[in-house]
Amino acid sequence: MPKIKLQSSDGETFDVDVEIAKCSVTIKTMLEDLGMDDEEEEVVPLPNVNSAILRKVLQWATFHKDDPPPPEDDENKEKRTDDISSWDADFLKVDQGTLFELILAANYLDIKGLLDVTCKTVANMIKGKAPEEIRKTFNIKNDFTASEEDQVRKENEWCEEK
Amino acid sequence: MHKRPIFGDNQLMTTIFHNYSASESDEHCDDLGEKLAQEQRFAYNTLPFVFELLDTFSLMRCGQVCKLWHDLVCDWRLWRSIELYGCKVSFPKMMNAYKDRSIVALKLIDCKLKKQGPKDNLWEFLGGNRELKVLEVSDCPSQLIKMLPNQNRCLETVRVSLVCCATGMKLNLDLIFLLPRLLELKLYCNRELDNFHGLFGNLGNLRHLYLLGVKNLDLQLLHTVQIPKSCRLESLGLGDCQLLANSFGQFLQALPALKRLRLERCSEWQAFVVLESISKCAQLETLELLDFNINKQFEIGLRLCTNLKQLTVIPNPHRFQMGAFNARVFRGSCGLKRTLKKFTWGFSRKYMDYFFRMYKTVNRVPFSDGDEISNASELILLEDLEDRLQAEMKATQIVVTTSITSGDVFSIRP
Repeated sequence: MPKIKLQSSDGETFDVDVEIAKCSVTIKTMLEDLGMDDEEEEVVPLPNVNSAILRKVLQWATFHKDDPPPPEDDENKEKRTDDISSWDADFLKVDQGTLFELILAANYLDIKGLLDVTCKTVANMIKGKAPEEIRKTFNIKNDFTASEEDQVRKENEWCEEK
Repeated sequence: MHKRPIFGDNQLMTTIFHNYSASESDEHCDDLGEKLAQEQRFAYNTLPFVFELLDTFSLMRCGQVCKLWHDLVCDWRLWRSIELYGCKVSFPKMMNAYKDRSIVALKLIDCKLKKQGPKDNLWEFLGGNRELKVLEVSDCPSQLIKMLPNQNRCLETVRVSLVCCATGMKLNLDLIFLLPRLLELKLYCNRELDNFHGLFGNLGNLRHLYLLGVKNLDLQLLHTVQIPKSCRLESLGLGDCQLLANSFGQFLQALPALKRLRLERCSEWQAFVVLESISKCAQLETLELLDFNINKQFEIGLRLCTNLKQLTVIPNPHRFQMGAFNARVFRGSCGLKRTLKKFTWGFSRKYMDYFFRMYKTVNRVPFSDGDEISNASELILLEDLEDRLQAEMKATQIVVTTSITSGDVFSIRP
């Protein structure tokens, strides 16, 4: 199988099967646009992804290489977040920093499946929590003044818990 | 999904959303500014994708976390679809909050819809939101179905479970042809339908129809219904009905565009005849059988269904035959391993609870190869079951799940 080299922001290069690398639409488009398919020695620089994250991304892409293409988005798509496969759930047992960096990388590399599953994981960390619990979970400080907080509460007063 | 631009380099980030004040002790003001900007870029490029997946109430709570999150939550695209579970809603206040902006989808599941004041109700709201395309309401007063065509003619999708009207009153489904854009109707109603046969005579533009709980859904008589040749029904779901099989085959043959069929809780069914009828619909690719007794005929009948690409089965929790039911589902689905692209085996919560009460074992189901006495059953972990199936059906995507429930017309329940 033909391979390409991907270079992370910190200079590490990864030998990757072209087919696996192409699950990133960004890389796929780059290869097609530049006709880099044949040039074996060509290195694709990925200045937005460091080696630790790129390694994780490639691990995910390798496991999911035979997945069917993801469905097209539409505005009324189901917001389901409970359908994370057990492999993905295990794979995403990482610290929060890594999880968010994976979202960033998945968006930059345009890997829809990875973006979906990482965002679902974070969404599940938010659902069912009160604002203060969310702050605790993500280590955020409440920077609203009292009057701002009041204002925000007013914006939302059309809906309350039963 | 809206792709947002990526800025700069983020690898310095170790913790994600630092307290803004935590960096105040930092002596270097430039560093502080830089760090702050970086954290903002980081948040702007990750959180919006997460927020897209949240229901409206969770989104509101996110808006109360901090200023940065509040800014991000204010993106109007996030509020075009309102999705609330178990909340109390004031519609006038909601309309006030929305002003002249439109809502495309409204989903109210287990919400309090009681009338509070003369203008404080859902109908008023529906009349004022002409762009609404999707409506999902649970425990909905039955007048809604009657009134919808007067309130809003743009609706494309209606999914409702009805709280029933007075005893003896029948439900009228004329909205199907009174709403010119209606493509999908899913309905749970435990009363009788008015003019059930006339219903199939004029399905308007409808592509997807699910009728659950309806008392007079008598499929034995369905073959007498004149279904117009122009019928473009792509998916059909029928639940809680008598399935007397011979006429069911004729009925299916009259639906030339049918790709997806869902049958739920049909206690008396002639498995072989029904499955044989299904196998004769070449265009039918997806079959879902929820809460069924899996008798011996099932296995033989299912083998004929080589037209199916996707299959979902939830066996009934039958006191003495659960093990045998499971073994038959296993063998039956394996018989389709050459043609099936996806097989979903569901165990409803009810099933798991029932089983837990009998055997005090979590996440295992009985499996008895050919034996109908459950005492002789092997108990299989759900994960092991998935692995076993995958080993038999290598080219098929296998899903074993406990999250499917029968009797549900909604897209998702939390």
